[in-house]
Amino acid sequence: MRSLYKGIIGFGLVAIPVQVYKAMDEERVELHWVHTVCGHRIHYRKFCSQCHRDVTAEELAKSAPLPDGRYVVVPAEEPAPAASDHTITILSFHSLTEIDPVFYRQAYWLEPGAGGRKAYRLLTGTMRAAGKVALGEMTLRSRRRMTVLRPYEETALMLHQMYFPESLRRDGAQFGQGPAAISDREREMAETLIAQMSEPFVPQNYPNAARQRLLETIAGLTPSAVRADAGKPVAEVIDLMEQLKASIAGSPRRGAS
Amino acid sequence: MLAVSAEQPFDDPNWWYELKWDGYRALIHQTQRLRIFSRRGQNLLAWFPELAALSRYISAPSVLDAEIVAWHEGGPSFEALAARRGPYLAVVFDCLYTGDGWHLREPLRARRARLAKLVAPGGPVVVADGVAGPGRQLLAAAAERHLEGVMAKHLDGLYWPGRRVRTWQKFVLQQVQWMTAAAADPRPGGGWMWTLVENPDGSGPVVARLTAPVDWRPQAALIGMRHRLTPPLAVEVGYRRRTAAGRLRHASIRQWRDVHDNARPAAP
Repeated sequence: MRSLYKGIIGFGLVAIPVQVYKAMDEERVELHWVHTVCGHRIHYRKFCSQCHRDVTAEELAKSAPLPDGRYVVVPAEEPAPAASDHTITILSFHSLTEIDPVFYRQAYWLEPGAGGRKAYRLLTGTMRAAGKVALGEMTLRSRRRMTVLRPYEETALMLHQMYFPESLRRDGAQFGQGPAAISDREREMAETLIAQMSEPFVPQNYPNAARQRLLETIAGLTPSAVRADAGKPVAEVIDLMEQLKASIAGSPRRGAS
Repeated sequence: MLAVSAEQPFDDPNWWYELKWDGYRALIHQTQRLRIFSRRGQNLLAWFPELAALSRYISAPSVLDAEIVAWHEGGPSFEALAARRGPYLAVVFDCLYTGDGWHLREPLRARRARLAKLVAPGGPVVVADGVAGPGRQLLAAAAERHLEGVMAKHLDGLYWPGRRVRTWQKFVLQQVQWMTAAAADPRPGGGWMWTLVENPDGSGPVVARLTAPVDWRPQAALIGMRHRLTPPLAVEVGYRRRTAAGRLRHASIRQWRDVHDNARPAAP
């Protein structure tokens, strides 16, 4: 596990040094686009179709389109002051159930840094005993993000990056409104069914079958793996024709005529 | 449309010279769907399904004249093609039909101009490049690279389907002939050498000894032993010329088949 960065949890007057790790593996299997003719990986070029040429980084700017078709160039963001970067400031504590799962983004492990274990354990243990989680503010790569810190099992701290509340499309909350006549019998049936189908949540029971199949496919194809350099016949044909033409153009007889 | 053999290689600014590729002649029909026909009308896509990729690189509708080539160690290999070992590519050299209609009555220079617009780069398809004028120099350059020869085409020539015409002439560096493998010898480093003779029954003077194709195996009982091939194998050999004693110079195996067993299909 590779640490993303070192940071500090700011909790009142206490600062707890931590290292941040990604908690979840990518579900996607790493796949690259290759050009099947020569087997080489493709890359993306920044190309202007108006000027018909590649553009340099200095020529590029981000712009925001306006409804009338015009756009404004947005100035590059000022990097945040170094001091506030990599700091997770705890703002308040809440019950975990108060925070709707819709706001959760990426999950990260926090590991106590040198000299930080005692404060780390104190924070984790106290939150666990109080049944609370911490809402925090984090600056990561000069961007401010809301986070939730929570105890995970006995000793560990987990951090979730959060969506900002404006991101939620509220319209969906209206779905299901309107009259619906439900009889007691129907309600009882639904309750019985749910009770019958209730069981403890065991994550291992729900593996990613599609990913497993893809990994098996890749393993099965390994004997026929090729190196990118193996086949570039079209390039070689073009080279060959060019070389033959060049040998004619450069010959003395041609030069004399 | 087929070429006659030129009596002598020649230079002429009104003639277009391009490399003669050692492969299967093919007509590529890119219409509702891609079809590729051999000279005898067989479906080459069934032989080389990899060529289905061509449909992404050739504009529709079009009918192109082409040579299907197998590429092996930096050059075309008829042997690899006959044994169906890729990668394959299509070298296209004429345009017979487009959305504008048939172009058989247009001169070659006009058909070539159309051809250039139909093929997108990046796929297993190349437009045959060439020169107008110095045919003998192109032939000399082709000889140095051990290529099959040069095609000479009159730039004002029309396209005559199915006919052998004098507006297409070939300067052939390689002679092609069916011969007979009479015996096999194990080679010290593994593999086999074939002893080739001219008579189909395996008799007659030896004309060449060549490394047997990698996909040929003798009967299990004969592994590691010199033995006569009974019955002999039919082997198509390409060679540059013969010595005074009749031995082949610069010879290579193009394809082979066991005439009695018919395990290997005939070429399309």
